[in-house]
Amino acid sequence: MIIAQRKSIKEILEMLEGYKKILILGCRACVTVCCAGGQKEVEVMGSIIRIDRKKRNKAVETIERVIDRQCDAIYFSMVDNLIQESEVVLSLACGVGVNMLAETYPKKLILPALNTGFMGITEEQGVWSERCIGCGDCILGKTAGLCPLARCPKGLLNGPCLGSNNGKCEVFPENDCVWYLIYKRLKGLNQLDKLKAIIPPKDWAKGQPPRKIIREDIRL
Amino acid sequence: MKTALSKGQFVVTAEFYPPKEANKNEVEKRALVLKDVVEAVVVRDNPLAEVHMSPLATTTILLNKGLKPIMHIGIRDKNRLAIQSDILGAVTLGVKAFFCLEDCHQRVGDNPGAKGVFDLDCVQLISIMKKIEHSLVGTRINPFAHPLELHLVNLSKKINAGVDFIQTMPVFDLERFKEFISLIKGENLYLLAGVRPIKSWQALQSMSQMVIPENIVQRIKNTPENKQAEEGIKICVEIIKALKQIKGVNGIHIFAHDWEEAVPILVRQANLK
Repeated sequence: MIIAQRKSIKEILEMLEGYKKILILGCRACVTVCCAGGQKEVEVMGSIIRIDRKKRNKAVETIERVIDRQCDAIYFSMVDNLIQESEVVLSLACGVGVNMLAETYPKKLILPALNTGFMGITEEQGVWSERCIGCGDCILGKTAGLCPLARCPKGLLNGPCLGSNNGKCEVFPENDCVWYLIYKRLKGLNQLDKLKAIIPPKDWAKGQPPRKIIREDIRL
Repeated sequence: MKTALSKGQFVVTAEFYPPKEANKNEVEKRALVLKDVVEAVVVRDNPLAEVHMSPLATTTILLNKGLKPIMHIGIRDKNRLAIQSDILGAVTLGVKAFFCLEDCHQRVGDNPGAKGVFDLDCVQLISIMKKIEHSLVGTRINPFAHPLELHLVNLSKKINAGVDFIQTMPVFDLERFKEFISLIKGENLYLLAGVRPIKSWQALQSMSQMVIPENIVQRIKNTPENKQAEEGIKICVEIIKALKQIKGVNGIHIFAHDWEEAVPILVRQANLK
């Protein structure tokens, strides 16, 4: 899923300064799972904005809603009237949702409440980490299902750097070296030979924005 | 250097950090310390992820002073276009030898917010460097890394990509180094063992990532401060003499860092010149 994190309250309040009717719009997809932009976070955000304005004797009206997805315009119909009526939409979706809102409502100001991080996993409650950079040309078949592009800070494709020692990463010593994990897994699978094949330079033409996938077979 | 290695001479090279300012005099002054003392110098590309004068400019000054530079081309700061452009420029100016390693991450340097490039890794870069006719290409290995098997797989890829020589991280533990040598026996490449003179107790404490036997640590620790540099040289000379006796070691690479004056002393005291 996409992992995101709320911006600082200070930054959010500064962005909203002067607006009196604010729609706070959450998303039930990834950002709900990573506790950044679901129902609960939308309600908390509404309270924070109202308390701030009350403290400063400034008027504000907040409307709080959560829709199934913000990355698909079809779900905006549920809140279309509210978007039209509000002065500004504070989106608690990932950056994709903010873009979708901005493209759908060209005359409406859309502001992001989150910083979008990465595609990752839940390691434990409150801990998420990156697992895929969406490079467009998956090499996991060669690396025992573990991605060096996402997990090695240098994105090395042919093995560890000089600093990898005792299975730990030189740059982030609290992390396991992904090349050590790949080695261990391949050894366990009796496929250590796979480690010896040289992986050629990456074709970044497939991994750079702006990207688009067109599936003619399912287009209407 | 290629000729010296192929003739079986015990080759001495040294590490050269370009200055952190636009200062030609400093490069020339430091180059003169190494001239006629070492076979070649490895000119590093933004070592420790800190901004230094470009290796292309530095190698040009060294060439003009009659030294033989081995130009390090980093993978952290440049993509494949810039790298190939640098190689073409360097060859045109007379550089015949290249070097690469995996580079420190930008996070540990003086521009921690920089975008790391890492478009190529060393295996891929070696293949590109070897496209230059008659080029000599080197890389580095840590013989003390664990598990060594993983690092040796990486080395075998570099050998398959065409690397000519490897230099090791500084050697202090000769027994563990001999184990490493026994594992790479039979590989078709030249090996330069890394050595580093310990300048002081303080310097030694900053070398925590290196494997240093306790007796060496104690020797420096128990030496009065004003004699520690001398003791460091003495230890280094002992290591060089022992390395020279190990079959499969074709020479040494001296990591003197900011202590280049130590290089001619080491070469003289170890009877290498």
